[in-house]
Amino acid sequence: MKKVIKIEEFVGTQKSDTQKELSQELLESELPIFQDKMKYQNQQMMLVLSDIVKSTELDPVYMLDPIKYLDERNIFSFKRGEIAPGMELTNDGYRELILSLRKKYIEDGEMPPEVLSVHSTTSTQSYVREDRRTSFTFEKSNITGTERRAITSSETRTSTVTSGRELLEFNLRRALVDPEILTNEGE
Amino acid sequence: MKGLTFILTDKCNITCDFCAPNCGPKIKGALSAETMIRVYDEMSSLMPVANVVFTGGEPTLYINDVVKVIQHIKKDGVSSRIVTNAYWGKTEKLARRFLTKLKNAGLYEFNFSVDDFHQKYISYEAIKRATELALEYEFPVLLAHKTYPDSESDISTFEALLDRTIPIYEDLTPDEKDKHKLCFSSGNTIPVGRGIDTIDVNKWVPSNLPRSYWEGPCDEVLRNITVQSDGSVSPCCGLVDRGLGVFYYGSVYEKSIPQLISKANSSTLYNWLALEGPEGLMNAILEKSTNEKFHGTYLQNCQLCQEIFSSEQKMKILIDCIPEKVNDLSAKRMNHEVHRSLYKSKTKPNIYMTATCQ
Repeated sequence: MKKVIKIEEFVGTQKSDTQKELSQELLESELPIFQDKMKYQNQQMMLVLSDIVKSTELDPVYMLDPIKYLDERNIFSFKRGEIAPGMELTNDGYRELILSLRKKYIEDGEMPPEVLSVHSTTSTQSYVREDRRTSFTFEKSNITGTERRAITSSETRTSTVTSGRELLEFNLRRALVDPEILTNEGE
Repeated sequence: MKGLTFILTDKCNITCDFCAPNCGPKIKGALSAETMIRVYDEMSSLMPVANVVFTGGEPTLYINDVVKVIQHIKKDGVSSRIVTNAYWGKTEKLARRFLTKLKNAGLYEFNFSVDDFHQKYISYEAIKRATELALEYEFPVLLAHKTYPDSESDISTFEALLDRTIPIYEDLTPDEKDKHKLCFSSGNTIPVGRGIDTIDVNKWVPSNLPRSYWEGPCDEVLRNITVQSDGSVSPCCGLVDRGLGVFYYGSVYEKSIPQLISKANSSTLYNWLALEGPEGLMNAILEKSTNEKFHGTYLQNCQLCQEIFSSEQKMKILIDCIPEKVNDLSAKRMNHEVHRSLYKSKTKPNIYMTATCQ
């Protein structure tokens, strides 16, 4: 006769109110690094940029605090033809963008530490055509992140084409979210 | 992001004697194509999605919805996979209709669920026909087999059925995996779900299993998102018992994917599982309470998770452990991010999600 052993822990079908409450309590806890989201995101950006420095063999000293480098309007702006020599490595939008960020971090003014996120306001035309300027707007936030104001460039084109904007936003988010893609893709 | 999985229905045309998610013909409900497309769009706007998996239940019962989603994601070049019991292989006409539809939609590959439990209801002849025709349509096919102590089928069963040698997927290098259109993979059946009462767990999970079966960080948590048929979202492969509320942190009908990802990614519990695995949780519980009992050996780490989160006492102890653990986990996560950034070309990244979504 087959021996049948029921081990409650393996069944796992208890759905008592207590268990539900315990589950909720366990899910409520958040790691401290994520409670300070701004600090975490700045860390992420530094990791992205330090990665670029490594890949392009720039002097890492510029990247000790990359958040400090941005022009006085808090805007990165570039022309394809003006980007650093590394640009011709690829035509992928995110690499172009990152290269432009690198250039402006190094050459331009200081970016406020409260910079929270990045949004592209470019158009498909300016993205595709080499002689158009592409601007990126940094959205500022106060410390709590509840009050924001967008600083837009006068050069931002009003006739934004959604697909182009989305493409650049996508690429930028990818680069900021996951440094992995900087070397694994677009090579 | 490793993958997005849609358990698009719990409905299945068969009722296997043993089934972790308790699927069957009488169960109703499924994710609509519109919902799956919205979830994919929200997720891919945040990060690259490596592949999309459709499973269940039997996902091909809703083939028109699956086709719509595959057509949609194809534009991004995202790989797609259907996990099916291949019942549609019962006639050539039906199989060709399915395969033509899916080929035209842009499906990349199939996993066929094959084992004693499935083959009680799905004939070997249907598996043979489905496999041969899928290969004819140039779909890669993985025969995903589950074994258990009294299992009658193994790789030789299917090699004889198909009259060919079938390479074992886990033994192949990435290049070799691309070359072989047909592979075989066999794993242990985890004693969870329907049928648990009919087995001898101690026989299924012998006490002499090596620790490598279940120790170390979980490879799934925070690398996958699984959307269940009712819209609830899991942070891993989603094959845990549906009764464990700790693995469901929201619904796609109530929150956006960025909100859900942000919540999962910052969760102490999920980071703990991703960084140390359920083994880390067990060690913390044992440090806090030496009297707490564990089975001790597991077929895989999911089973240990199952043991921990179906015990109210263990969950209570974990809650007590968290305040002492959060700083350590924060440091580990940050170190992990730095490590990933600096050495990504040499090592496999361990965590893909980040909290940059607002």
